[in-house]
Amino acid sequence: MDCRRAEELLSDHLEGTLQGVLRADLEAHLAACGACTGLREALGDVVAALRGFPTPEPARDLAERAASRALAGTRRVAGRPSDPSLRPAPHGRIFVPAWIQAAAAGFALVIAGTLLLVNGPAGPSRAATRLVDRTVHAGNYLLARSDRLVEDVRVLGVVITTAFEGRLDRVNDRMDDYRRRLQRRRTPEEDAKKRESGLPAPSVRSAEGFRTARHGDT
Amino acid sequence: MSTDSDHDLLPRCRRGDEAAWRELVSRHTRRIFALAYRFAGRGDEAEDLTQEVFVKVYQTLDRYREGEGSFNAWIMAVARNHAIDHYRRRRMDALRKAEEPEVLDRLASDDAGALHGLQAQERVRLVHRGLQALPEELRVPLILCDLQGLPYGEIAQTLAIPLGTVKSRINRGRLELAKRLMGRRAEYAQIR
Repeated sequence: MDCRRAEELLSDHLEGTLQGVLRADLEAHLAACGACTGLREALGDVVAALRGFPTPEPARDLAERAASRALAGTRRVAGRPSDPSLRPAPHGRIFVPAWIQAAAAGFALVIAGTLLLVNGPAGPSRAATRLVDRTVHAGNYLLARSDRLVEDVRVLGVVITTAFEGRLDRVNDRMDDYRRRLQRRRTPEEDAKKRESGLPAPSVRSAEGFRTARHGDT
Repeated sequence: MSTDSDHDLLPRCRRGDEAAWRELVSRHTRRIFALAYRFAGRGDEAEDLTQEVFVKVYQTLDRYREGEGSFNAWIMAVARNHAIDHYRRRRMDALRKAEEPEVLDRLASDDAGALHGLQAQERVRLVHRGLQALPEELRVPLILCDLQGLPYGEIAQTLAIPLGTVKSRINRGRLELAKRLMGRRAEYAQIR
């Protein structure tokens, strides 16, 4: 038995589940190999340390806070007024205004698009260039529609993540989902209002699919 | 504290009885927090996780069926799954910054006979740090096995991976930590 094989069997040996020939072979190897013997000993200490790891005590009011948060987050009793005191404490998290989040999201989208262009799934390519174009365009659109910021950021985050993972074929699907979502949101009144304000109306192009070559495409 | 059993409290919780719900939470907070702490490695994050688990439990109380096992087993499974999801969302980068747990400072450090050159406190601290630094695929099975005490079969079921893979990952995780410990011991021996 070599050291590599011995390492594979050490946990079983430690737990006493190694039997027969394998156990005899491992013990013969341990008797002759100081390194593996040391490792076996250290393994025992690790398991002892893990199993004896101290359990910290939760804060005294944790149960009260946890119960209140669940009650505040779910209306199990119909018509019960929401008690502000039951809302979870912010735990020191900083409130960031929506316009800063919007600016940060737009900036992140542009940076992500640029990085993708340089280090994209297959290096600089026509496909990556087009994705950058779409990403920047989507970022601009996002900045113009901060009222739906959270949902947009989430959807675009999925698109970018998908692209970075190299699954360009699935980017199309994600963008199609996004386009359908936008079309559901749009009403004639909204489009008219946009035209009056001078901002570009959300066009189909803003959520146009990202086309990748499919089998049989030319 | 109420003498009602969990099974007595559950129907009242489902009807929206706040007192029953608070009692139920109070009974299970400590164990849920301990589990959350194993995954999060930090007290504040474990508290957040604990609260999230109870929100989820409250929202899904109707899914628990008394005939399918104890409420305790069900709530721990909910907590475990939530902790694993949370861990995967957070990724390792954030978790590697886990704070040094204060509980380690309270460990006894006088059992020199069992230390093999390292104080118990330092050994646990080293193992804790090593655990935080392990990749997710090794760390999660190791937590479930050695810190939570789950049998291999249940870990395989929870993580939806084959039993052989579970055993292999647990062994690899332990070996990683053991090699760290050996390296530290070697440094310690040189100093002495």
